[in-house]
Amino acid sequence: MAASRFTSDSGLTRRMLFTMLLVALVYVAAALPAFRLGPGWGLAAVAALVAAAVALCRSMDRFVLWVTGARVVDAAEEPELHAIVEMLCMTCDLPKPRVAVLDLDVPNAFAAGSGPGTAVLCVTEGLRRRLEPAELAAVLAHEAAHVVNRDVLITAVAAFPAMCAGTLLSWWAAPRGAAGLLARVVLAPVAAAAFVLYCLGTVTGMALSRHRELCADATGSLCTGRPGDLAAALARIGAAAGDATPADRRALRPVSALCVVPARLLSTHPAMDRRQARLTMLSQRLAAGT
Amino acid sequence: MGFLDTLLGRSKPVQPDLDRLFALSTAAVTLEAATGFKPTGLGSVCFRAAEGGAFARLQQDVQELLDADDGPKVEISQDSYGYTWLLARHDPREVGRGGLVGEDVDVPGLVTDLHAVNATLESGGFGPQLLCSLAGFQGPGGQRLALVYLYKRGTFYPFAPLPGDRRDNALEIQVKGAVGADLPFEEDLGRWFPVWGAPGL
Repeated sequence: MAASRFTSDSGLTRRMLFTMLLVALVYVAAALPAFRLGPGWGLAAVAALVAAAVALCRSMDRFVLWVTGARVVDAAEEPELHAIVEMLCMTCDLPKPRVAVLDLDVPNAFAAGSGPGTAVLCVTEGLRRRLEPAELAAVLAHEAAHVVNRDVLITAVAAFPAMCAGTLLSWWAAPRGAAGLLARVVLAPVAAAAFVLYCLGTVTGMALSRHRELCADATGSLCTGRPGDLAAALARIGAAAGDATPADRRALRPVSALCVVPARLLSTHPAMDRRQARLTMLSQRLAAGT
Repeated sequence: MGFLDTLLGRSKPVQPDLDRLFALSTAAVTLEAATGFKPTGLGSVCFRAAEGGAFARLQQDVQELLDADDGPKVEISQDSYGYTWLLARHDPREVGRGGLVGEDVDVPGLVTDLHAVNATLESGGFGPQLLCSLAGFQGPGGQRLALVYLYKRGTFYPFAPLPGDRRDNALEIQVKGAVGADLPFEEDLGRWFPVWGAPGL
């Protein structure tokens, strides 16, 4: 009976598989042009993609901490936060992740790291100030669910081709002068391909991220047994995120896909109504004991 | 977790083997012989009370089940993080009727109670809400110790608090050495989670 609660969402499973297929197609699209130059080039491109993706995944946690300026805190500094995380780890069967605090007034939280071994859970000061302990636990359970499901790794892998294409486009647009113009004309087909890849990759990456958010909501709130707490926390965060200062929103922009609620657009996250509706459904199932 | 589960963003709940809890009775004897730590007769189960009527009814059932034998009532308390602790007590004097007056604590009885709480919640489908169970011990110098059973992993670890939110790591390692063979021990020291202020400690 407990098992059925975790696996019954076949609609979500189908959509997830479909999105995964799209991600795979994006990778194929990235490697295909190189194969047209010759099989050697093609294999080299595949190897380079894989190597870069692996390097990215391995350094993901450090990169995210560095780019946001989050501070890793130990148990002596933040005993309450650590106590909440330790209780969650017991419930979710996770090794203890590092805990970081971000000195921002926006109420938000994110998880980083490629898997349970390297995970970091980060909360902002604003989140801790605004939420009750039970709601904070619900938000951290959502983030812990991302760690359990290895969402950070999966979304990084999905977003990687788009990121490379974006970098390529910015290189292409950068050079100035006559030589630069000539280079741009010569490389125009490559840039066009990169542009297509960029659009495709971004859209599929966002679709994937939305599905993973719904999964993390479900996993996290079934782990705590209190979907109501997460729904309340989301409502409170959503209300407060509206009046965040632009500077605060900018600080979270690089990791917006990882946050519990996105800092700028709702694109990487499902609409709040939809998440609330699903959480209400979970509450009803728990109340009925099915 | 399987590769497909990772791709699909879901996780399967572990299937814990609750019967491992019974190993605690033997371990208590070994522990006393090796380190002088005696069971206090207190034990507790920690869980997260799920919302909704189904869980509330189940929790009521558990309490009635444990209160049914003529021992002292179980005590339910909530900590500041919203976790529920169910404290079971088997005083030395209670068992005194059996002959060993004031000498021995009824550890098997305590373990049976802890097992019953876990099993009832599990069979009600609330296994995911279970965190841990613990049995309290007291050393010759009044030092406190708990053997904690992690429900999700089916493993045990020691927790020895010192005044001022510190842990006696040396004692914990010593306890592992003493009862490590009797219990399925948690090998990952990162999962020896502290349970500060747990009832029954």
